[in-house]
Amino acid sequence: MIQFLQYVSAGILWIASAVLTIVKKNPIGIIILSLMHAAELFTVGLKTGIEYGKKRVYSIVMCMTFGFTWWLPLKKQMEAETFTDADFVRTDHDFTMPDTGVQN
Amino acid sequence: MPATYEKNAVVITKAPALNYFHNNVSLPYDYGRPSYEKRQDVIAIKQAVRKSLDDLDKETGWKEQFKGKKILIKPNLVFVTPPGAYRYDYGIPQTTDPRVFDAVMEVLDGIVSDIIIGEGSGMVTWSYAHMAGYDRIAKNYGCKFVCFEEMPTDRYFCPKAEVGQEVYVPKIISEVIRGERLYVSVPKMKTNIYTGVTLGFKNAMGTFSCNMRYRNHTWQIDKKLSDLLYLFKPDLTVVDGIIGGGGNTPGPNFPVLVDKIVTGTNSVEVDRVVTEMMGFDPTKNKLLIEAGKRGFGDPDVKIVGKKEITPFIPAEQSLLTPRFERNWPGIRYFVGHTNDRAPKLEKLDNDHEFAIEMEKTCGGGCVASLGTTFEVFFGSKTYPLTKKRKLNVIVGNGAEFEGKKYWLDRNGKAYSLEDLKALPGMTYVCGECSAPAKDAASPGLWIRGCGEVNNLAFRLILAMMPTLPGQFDLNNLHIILFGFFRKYFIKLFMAAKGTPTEPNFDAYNDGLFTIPELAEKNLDCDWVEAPVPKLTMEQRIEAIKNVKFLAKFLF
Repeated sequence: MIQFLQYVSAGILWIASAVLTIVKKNPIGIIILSLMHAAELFTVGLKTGIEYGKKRVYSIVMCMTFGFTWWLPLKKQMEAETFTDADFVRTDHDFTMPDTGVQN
Repeated sequence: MPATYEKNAVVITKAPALNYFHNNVSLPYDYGRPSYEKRQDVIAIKQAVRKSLDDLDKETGWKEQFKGKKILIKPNLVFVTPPGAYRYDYGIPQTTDPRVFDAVMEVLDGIVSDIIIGEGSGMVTWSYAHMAGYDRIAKNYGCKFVCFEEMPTDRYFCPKAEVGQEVYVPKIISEVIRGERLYVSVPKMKTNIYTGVTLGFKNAMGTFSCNMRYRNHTWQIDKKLSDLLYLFKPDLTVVDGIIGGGGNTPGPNFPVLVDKIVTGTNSVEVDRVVTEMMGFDPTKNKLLIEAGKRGFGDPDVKIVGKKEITPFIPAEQSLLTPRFERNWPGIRYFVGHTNDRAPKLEKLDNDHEFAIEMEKTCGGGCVASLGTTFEVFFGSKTYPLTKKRKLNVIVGNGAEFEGKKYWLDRNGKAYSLEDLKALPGMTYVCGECSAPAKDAASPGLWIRGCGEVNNLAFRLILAMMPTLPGQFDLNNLHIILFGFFRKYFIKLFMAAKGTPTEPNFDAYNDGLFTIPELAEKNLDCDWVEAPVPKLTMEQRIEAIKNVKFLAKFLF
């Protein structure tokens, strides 16, 4: 949901920039968004998308449209799901048993 | 033909003791790639599943039976709740671990000719399959994933059944019934508030559409589920006992580190063995008693492997437990029944034990659904805000005493309708039979239908504001909502085409759905096909009106 809202925010930014371009004849919003997203694409977005398993074209389209709101969650998930053998050793801290309060 | 085994076996296989909590409810992003295959947990699970199925083959020869056949394989998808959705720091172990399911698929893929993965979670199967990664498993093996509740239904009569004589199942199940497709059940090892445990053959509950589920979803639920075995039964059962789930499942349950895979060719026997391994007495489990009574077990089954007991926290089919009272000090609960199973009310001042006896009268219905819903609220992050919420909850049609109806509180003290109406705070009246107490209900809080859990839960959310159910994990809410819309529009489309996916909603009482008199030759059959003609235009309009977004009495 949070990601969905971030996508909506990115969409609103694009629409606002388009309105600015058409009504005020000022393309600054579109230019800034495009440049920022292109910079993200070449530095981290495309690499993240491909590493995650997304197709190249899909990664380009998503990164150019949504910028970091697209690639950052993927990067975070990859970091969280990259394990070493040590992560699979059973310990007493694998999970916290809630207070079940069972009395029988 | 379904698989026919000369002898049945149950194989218990131990997996190494590892930390299996990473991705126990959802597959990782790198599923299907070399990095996934190299994970310690994946290697261990695959080895355990393969060994168990190989050992089972040595005992029963199941692989020969499956060679070149088409199969339907069914996981158990309930809610898919990753760590952080509830107050707990683990993924809730109530859905078949997708790593285990993938391991089973890998074994079967080399034997059978065609695989369909099918499930009906009762809510939004598509969303849960997507969240857990089952759609990716299907893609990986080049097979289809089908959501049962979105499929057209076929009707069958089961003359030998006690409760479920008329059954509607999705069309794909007809292939299993006719023996054209073998059926593999891959359940989770877990407790269940309605039936004590939910394992191999109870997993077939997911083949019912919503309205079919609500039929006799009451004290008759054990008979209803056992009757389904007349229609079809698993040809192979693989129980995911890597991380089991104890407590009030399908509410958020508590992990149990079992590290076992249990496989078998007779699901009733598999369930019997696993129930014992969970620390329960299978001879006292009503579901297993009913299945045994119908002759679906096999007393000569061979058990391979050690039946170690790992105690599970039992499910509590009651709101009269000390735990419930401790967790919800503001809830005042009243129960009363008049029927041939209920104890007779002979005085107005009874004790706690008498109230428990009264409550047990209809265990598989509203009480279990209420227990589940309160467990959801208990696990929710909003629990500290709602812990002391005051609410009166009334269940049942009232116990008769001197021509007047009464409901008992937890101490066994009887309250008349006038007493209940005078209670301070909001009052929630639950269940179709509770109509005599409906005047005591706050506006919108008389819940019609027997066991219509979506309606019951949604209105309990309203009554328990500001609670937020944890399974609607905010990160995945858009996927869940999409699933609801998808299901709703598919069902509308099917109804418009004249092929509804649901029988009529008829859970207005716990009466039986009897079948017309059959020809003598059919009386001894396990099942008889009873085709439903295509809907007329008027019926289509009615069917469209009956398609609900969430529940019969909501929207």
